[in-house]
Amino acid sequence: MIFADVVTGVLLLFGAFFFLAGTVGIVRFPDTLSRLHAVTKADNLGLGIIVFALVFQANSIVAALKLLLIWSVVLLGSATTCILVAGASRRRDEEGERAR
Amino acid sequence: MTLEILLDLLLMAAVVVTAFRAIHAREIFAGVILYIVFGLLLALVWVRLEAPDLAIAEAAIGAGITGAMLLDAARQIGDGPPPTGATRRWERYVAAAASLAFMAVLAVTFVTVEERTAELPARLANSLGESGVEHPVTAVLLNYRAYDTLLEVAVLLAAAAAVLSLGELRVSGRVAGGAPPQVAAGATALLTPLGVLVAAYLLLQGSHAPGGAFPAGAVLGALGVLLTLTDNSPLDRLRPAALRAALAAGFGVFIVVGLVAMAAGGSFLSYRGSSAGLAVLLIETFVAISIGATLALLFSVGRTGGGDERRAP
Repeated sequence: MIFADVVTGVLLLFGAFFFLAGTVGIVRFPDTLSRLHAVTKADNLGLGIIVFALVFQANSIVAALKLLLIWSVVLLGSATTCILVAGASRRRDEEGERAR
Repeated sequence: MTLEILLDLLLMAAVVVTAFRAIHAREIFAGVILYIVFGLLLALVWVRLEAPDLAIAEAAIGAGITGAMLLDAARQIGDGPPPTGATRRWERYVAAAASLAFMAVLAVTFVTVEERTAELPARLANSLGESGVEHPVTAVLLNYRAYDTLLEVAVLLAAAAAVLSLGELRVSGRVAGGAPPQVAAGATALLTPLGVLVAAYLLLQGSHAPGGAFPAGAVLGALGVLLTLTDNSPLDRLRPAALRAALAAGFGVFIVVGLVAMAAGGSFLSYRGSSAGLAVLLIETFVAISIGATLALLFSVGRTGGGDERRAP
């Protein structure tokens, strides 16, 4: 039981580190595409690690599977949103070029 | 313990700062995004207050559906700063003073009301067996205070009726005239069956844990929004009569169940004991459908789909 807690703690710290990296990226990176890159890649990995940390605390297989399902839905949502935002940003840039 | 207080203070500060920034955002779009963030932070506040039912509702309806509607409205208005001169300076001071006064009333109420109602949770716990469900929040919402919930459902129906009366239902999801992005359509195709499953899960979960008709309806409404945005609106496929039936089903079934309880010898909406579980489930199922249809309708109707085209020279 204590072993599981230690694993959870270490994984949570790892996950938080990736979230921090993603947040630094979104604040520091210069343009939309780089920021998207930071926030989708780093946060998705961070969330995955945190989900795995919580899997070690789950009481049942079903609860663990639910956690993994949450991660996969977030992955799907974030990947889709990333492409939509990137596409919108490109269209906006092209319109800006034409206006000039 | 101190760490928890620190977390709560941080959360409270974040809520206030986000609300302030949302109001004072330089662009409408940024204001809407900050409003969505505000809703999600508020959901976290409800989690900290140990009210997961409210947290789900706030995240799904407050941040999710309302956020989608505001984003859509912002798109139709167009980018740029909010129109100036909409509010005068003294109007803002009056609004701020009224808000602060209301906050003071709430704070006083919060401090004084606690002692008087401390016996309610115990009474509720004692009589939970006759309510038909095991989750106290659902027992209050759908049984002991069913009359309040019935009126809430009536308000939603009135809103839907008002929206329908604005004109002919014309649903279009297209943003810029072209086909919806394939990636979005593909993701929506994957999410739709999962969303229906989650809605059913939330609905049944409501009998013994946070969940029930309102979150389930919000998930259905969100699916409606997604499908509308990918040009596949479920409302488009319904005949007008079927759409109206879906909108009114929750209110109608609620009243019928209430009348049946009356016919069985009680008063209106007084279902207790062995048949209460069935009554609650019946009401929740149809209320969830009506909430989902209403939310999808509120988002879909009036979308001209020409926001970008109209702005083009």
